[in-house]
Amino acid sequence: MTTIALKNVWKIYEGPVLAVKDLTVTIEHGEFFALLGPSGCGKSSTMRMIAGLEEISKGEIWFDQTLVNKLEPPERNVAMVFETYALYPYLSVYENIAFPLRIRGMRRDEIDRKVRWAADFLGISDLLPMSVKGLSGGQMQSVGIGRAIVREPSILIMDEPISHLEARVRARMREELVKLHDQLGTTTVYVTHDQVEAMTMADRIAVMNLGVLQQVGTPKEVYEHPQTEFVGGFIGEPPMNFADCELKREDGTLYACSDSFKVPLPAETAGKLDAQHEKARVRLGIRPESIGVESAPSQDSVRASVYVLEPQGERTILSARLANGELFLVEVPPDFDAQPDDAVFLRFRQPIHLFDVESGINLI
Amino acid sequence: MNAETTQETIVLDARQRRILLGRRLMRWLYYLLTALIVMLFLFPWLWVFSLGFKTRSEILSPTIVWIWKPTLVNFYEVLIAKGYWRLIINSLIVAVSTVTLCIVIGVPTAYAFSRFPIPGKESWFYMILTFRMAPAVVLALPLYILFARAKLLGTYFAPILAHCTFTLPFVIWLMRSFFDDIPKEIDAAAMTDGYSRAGAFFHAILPLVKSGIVAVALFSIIFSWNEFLYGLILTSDATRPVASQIPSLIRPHGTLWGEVCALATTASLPVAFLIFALQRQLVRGLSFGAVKG
Repeated sequence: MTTIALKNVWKIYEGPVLAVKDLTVTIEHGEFFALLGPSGCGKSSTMRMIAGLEEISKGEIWFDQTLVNKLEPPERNVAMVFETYALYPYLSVYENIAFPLRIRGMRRDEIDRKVRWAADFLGISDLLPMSVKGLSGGQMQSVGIGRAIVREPSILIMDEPISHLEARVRARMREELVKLHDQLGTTTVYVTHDQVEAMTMADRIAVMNLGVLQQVGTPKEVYEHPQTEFVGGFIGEPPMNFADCELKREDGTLYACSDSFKVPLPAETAGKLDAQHEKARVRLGIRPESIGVESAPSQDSVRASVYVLEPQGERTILSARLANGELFLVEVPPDFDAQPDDAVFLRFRQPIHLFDVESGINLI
Repeated sequence: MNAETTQETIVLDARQRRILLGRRLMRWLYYLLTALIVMLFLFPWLWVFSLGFKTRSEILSPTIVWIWKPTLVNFYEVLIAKGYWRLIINSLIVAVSTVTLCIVIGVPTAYAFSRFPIPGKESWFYMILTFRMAPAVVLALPLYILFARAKLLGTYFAPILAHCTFTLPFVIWLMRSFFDDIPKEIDAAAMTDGYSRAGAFFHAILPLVKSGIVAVALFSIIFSWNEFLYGLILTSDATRPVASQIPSLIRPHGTLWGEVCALATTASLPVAFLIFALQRQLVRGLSFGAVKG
């Protein structure tokens, strides 16, 4: 088990293209750490720098007390699992798993023992004599994982390992990977663009966008307290609703006002805002489950009309059009019934997030 | 089948019969076309092959002699009496050396083009290709002067290096596309598994392009084997490859057609044999990208 520390790490490709900007983060030993973000956010570059596949333009990467900037991949004892499996197609399952051990010149009986242990651990012992060419996606990825864990690496990096698999297999593999991590305890860096994977599997998540680290925290923290507008919008399905508004104080109460709503903010929220922001334009962010729907108007409710209803089984997503034409997604019970253009009244509940219009930083 | 079972006859209506007939016709048309194309390529070679076994009077007869008693006199004259069998050895030395050199240099170069961020990569790549595009005669004079100054004229090095000018770009060009088809993750996997970059290239990537290398090497051998101009002007009698020596059989008193054809037949046999022996690898190599999809 190894602690990984990235200190002010930059990656600038030729062009110049800025891939990673001043990234500082520590991945604790034995942690299941997810690097999450859309494509082009710098997560893959970060992963490749940790693995030693990419040079670091600036900054330092430490594995425990060792500076690894100049170490080649084989010297780092990092194992990788790839999205496209990256198996050696001309070798059998057995030989694929044995591959890293053979490079190390291990004794034949030792290799055999370890390969069988890994295969047994992953439940793929039956596949050992087979060629990897005929395997299903899930089986291939199991072989890829076997190849990674067989040499007991100090760090395991998984690069979107289940993105290529069909939905049913993906759900099973998610559980398998968490179980695998729990049993091995290896420091694991899991790279993904799928927030559901990150939220359900990781101990902590680092959300990245355009090469910049947006937030590091537990899944609960990044969901409940997004530090930036990007994190708020990226984490959560359906995504957070946003609207530009102005803050106004009337009779001691702070209101978020726009053309379509005037929502009172609790004193606690108002207390966290500095004087500069109190009169400024801000971006209000609210999750679909934090909005209630009423059929009759009441004090502070927001008038809207039904645009689309999306039944999803255990819940229904209502797309409601506000007075100024903005659409807000609202989570409603599955038995909610309405026709398009029916009037509905939305009640904004806590937590309501306020983001700086310029920087996107959460002001609360 | 028991006694109660009645044999059912499938009755086709007129439309189905027409479709079936159409399909059969198409299949025959396809066979006919294939046979025509094969004949188009095979006929000249069969003609040359047959002339090698005819006497001079049979070859020069005003009417085509379809039935004759085959003779080996042309083969004896050209290969043994004139000692031209040595030219086949020369061709082998030149072709094998050229291909070895081009594969050894070209394959790693192609890999570098495929994987490394070389400044101005595409410009370099197209510049290499222009060597392949240039007609041999454009480079003939500069190469002659260069090799003369380097005192390489008349040695095996001259045709070998000259053949590399068009074979090496071909190897680099084709091998790069093979490498491009291999996911970069395989390199990354091999490196995190414990190999250096070079180790990953030799142990993980090269086995994947084996068929491609065989196909490229075969084509390169054919290019070198059939090359005429450089073989003629950059060599001496002792080092001349077979293709370049054939014009020496055109004599003032007439062309020795029988010997020309006997030599051409003999010269084409090693390459034909090579292609026949490696045809499976060749097809696999040529369809490498297509198969990977």
